[in-house]
Amino acid sequence: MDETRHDALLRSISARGLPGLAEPDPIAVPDAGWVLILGRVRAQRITGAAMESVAEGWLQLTDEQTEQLLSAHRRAMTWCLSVERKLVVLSEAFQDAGIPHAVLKGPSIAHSAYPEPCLRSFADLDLLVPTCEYERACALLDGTGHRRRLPEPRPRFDVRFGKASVHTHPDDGIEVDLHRTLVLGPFGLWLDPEELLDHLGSFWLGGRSFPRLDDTGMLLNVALHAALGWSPPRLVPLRDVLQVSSAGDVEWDRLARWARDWRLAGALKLAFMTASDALAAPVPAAARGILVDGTPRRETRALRAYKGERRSHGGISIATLSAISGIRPKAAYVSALVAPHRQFVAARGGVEGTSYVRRWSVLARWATRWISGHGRRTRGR
Amino acid sequence: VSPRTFARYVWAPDVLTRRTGTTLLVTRVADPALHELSGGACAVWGELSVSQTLSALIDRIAGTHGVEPREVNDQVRECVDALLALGVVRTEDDHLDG
Repeated sequence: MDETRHDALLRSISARGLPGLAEPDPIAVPDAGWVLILGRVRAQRITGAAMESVAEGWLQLTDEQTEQLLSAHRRAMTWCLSVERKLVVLSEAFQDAGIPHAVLKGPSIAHSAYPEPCLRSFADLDLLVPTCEYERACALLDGTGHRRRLPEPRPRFDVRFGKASVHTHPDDGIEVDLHRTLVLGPFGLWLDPEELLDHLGSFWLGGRSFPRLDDTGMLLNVALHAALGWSPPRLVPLRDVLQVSSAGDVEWDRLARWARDWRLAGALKLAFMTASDALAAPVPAAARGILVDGTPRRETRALRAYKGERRSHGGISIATLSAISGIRPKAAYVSALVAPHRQFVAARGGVEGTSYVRRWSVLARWATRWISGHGRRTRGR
Repeated sequence: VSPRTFARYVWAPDVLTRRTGTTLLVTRVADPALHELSGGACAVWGELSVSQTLSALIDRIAGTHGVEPREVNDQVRECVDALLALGVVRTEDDHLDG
């Protein structure tokens, strides 16, 4: 079984159960390729879907392969339960402190969009808080023993330009991603997280109800994650897009308005097209309405920053700069990138005493690439 | 009359669960110990999402499996005792107190 067939199998596993899809033809996995397949199933966090594929009979594994898959799934589910325990404790602490919050992705989508939570694995906890409460939420996490992975480049950088910070407790190693918006870069600045927080749903866990984005907000969140997150995108976010749009109670008119007002139409379209293409599943009929309009040029330019080489060569930072309104905020953003606090530089470098010279040389390379690319585009017009 | 005759049983309020194939992982927020239920214990567990007396539970399990209640009586009682000991099931009075 070659890599192309491995890819096809993983996509079939991810897509199983979606409306409009026929059950795949039966397929067995030769022992020679099994270790690789199992590794990829675990890495893509689709052990639950793989277990269901075996139960449905089209994924034909030997007893030993099934046992290994079950063992991997058990480990994944055990971790999910640990994350959920953390959610219960932290959500209570946020509530006691009067910090409004919504659970993003992970447990919220597993418990509200999928037929069973075992079909949607997750690795960490994502919480969205209003920007005005972000620093208090960071302090609460710090006060409960969590350590922030990266300090802010400059004070108040996060609440002005950032997306989220990662906090980990040394005892459990579970990452808590504290968000003030959904994505990094221009799209995260253009959207209005406070309005998202005005439209909440809930889900039940451990005998309690937890706040989450309603299905429309959840779809927006997973679509942005699928379109602008990993490049190339992972399978679970793509499945999430089709899962929420087919099983959720989405208000399509509101989604279309948000897409228009927050310049997210191109990102939404990219998410649906990529998900449909990767999982060979139709875009739900209700979603087709938001795919018909063209993508404005500004959004197209911003989208390019998240893809391929540009992403790893400062594309998102440069796109963020162009999305920031006003000379002074732009200057504040640039100065934070050029001359962040020493602790930030050291944390980014992973070693104590990392110099600014290395950072500046990277920034200079980005600028050179951007200027030469921009010049080529300008001359090409 | 045994106190168990009238006691009602239900999941502990803070249980967290996940299905893993044909088995079920069960834990609690207050106690990180992880328990794996299989076979008949999964059936008993599923029924206890709603509070009920032991005799009602035995009747339901027997009905599901198409057997006489006396045939599953001992196993169900043992299973409920084990779940109580693990702390993942409570009698409703405990539940109300907790």
